[in-house]
Amino acid sequence: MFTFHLFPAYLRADIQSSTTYPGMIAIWMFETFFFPFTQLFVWDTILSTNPSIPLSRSSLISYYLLFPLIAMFTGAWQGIFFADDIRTGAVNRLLIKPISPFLSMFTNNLAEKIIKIFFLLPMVTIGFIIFPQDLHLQLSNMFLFFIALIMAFFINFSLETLMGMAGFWLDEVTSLSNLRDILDYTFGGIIVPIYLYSGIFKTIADLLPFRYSVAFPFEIFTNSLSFPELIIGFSIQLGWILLFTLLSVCLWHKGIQKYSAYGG
Amino acid sequence: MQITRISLARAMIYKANFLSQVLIEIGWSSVTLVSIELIFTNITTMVGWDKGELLFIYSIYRFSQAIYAIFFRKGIRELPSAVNLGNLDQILTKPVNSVFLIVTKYVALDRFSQIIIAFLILLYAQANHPFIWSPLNVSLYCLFCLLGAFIRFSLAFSIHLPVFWIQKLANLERLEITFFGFSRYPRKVFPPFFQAIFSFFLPVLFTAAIPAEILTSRTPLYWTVLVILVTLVLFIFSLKFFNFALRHYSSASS
Repeated sequence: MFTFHLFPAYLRADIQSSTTYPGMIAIWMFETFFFPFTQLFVWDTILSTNPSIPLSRSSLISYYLLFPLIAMFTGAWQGIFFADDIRTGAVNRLLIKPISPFLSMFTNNLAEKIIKIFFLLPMVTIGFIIFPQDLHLQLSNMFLFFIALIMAFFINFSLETLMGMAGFWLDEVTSLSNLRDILDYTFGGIIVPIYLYSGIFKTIADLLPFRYSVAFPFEIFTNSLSFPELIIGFSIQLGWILLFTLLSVCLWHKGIQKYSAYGG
Repeated sequence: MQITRISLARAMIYKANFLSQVLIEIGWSSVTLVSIELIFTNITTMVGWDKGELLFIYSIYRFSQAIYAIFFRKGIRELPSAVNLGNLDQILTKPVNSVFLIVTKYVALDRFSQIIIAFLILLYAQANHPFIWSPLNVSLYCLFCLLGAFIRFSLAFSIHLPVFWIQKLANLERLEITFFGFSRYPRKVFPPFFQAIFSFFLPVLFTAAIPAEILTSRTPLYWTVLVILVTLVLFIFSLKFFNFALRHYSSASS
């Protein structure tokens, strides 16, 4: 169902719905900004006492100040909620509407991002005032950066959708969501900048999709990648998007066949 | 004891949930352990603390978090819904201290695995940097873990109290998690301004970082009195804040 003409109306409705809880969104954005900000201080101190580390202070500061923005733009979170809708029967209302459930999730995600940017941008601005940085913006990088950002979003969106599909078979997907978060924190470059991964950790991080959610767009932004590395990175992003999307579509069709609508 | 028995029975009903909680706790501990390993593949010390000492701080953090999670966390996290749904009446009308009833309503025995994980982290710390376990150090270690749990309780409880004024704040626990992230690192990692904020305004550093400094003789022993004082002041503040917040509570009928 590609009912794109309903997209503006749904987006408007989701934006209105998202403004109902501004306090909660402010807290989420504070968390999104403050955790990397904490890590910035940790690594700034480490760098000042260990000059042999292959990471410049400028790159470190840019990494952790832009991290919250990139994470917010590429973030998705509908998995648990969709699985819960399946369990309680609330998904029925999505099935009878003239809009794809996936498009509905997308408009919800986009609407929240539009609201979140108003909370996050001032915090990031304060971060850049405390740590002034010349970001060395280049037009050629910006185009590839936005492509990588969009693809990173679709990695997360398709993964969350896939997790949501588990709701047709599992009563509870919180454990799956926790596992995803654990892997994201471990291999996504949140606590330790991705540049400093080595050995088995680097190998695993390069294979999993999480480093392509935030770290890869950032590496493009700072012109840290060679042309072959760019090609490989975009290919891996595309591969994960296709894999998660195909699995989601398969599980959706199988799930709908066995789904018995009740409640809702 | 009654509450503990009921909580144990409740935890055992959902065995799969119990097991998944244990695995999740192991997973989240692994995140920090892997991060520490990655940090120390690039450095040998962090502001004078080696890997074993950093793990030592983390062990105190985990023990205090475990005690808090078992005895206090679930009750505190249910406070927002109790206020919004008017269920607080059932607690306020009982002839028992309300704060005691709110926070001890559950004994989350499914979190007991956190104690075991904390102990394993301590063993790993010991393997990397042998500590001297005199009777005094053992006593102080246990005391600091307990005090850390009470500091955590006081701060977390206070953080959740704005729900009496702003009902639509169901994710206040995220603030709790965000602020306590500071306490896993040595105090001197942060600039003086942040050290001051997180020592005396939001004293999260007193849960693990400062106790570790005392135990490793980086800070004089008499700072133990300061840790006790901070715990008491915070505890009394949280109770007073709760009593003040109650004046703004109006039942939604029950």
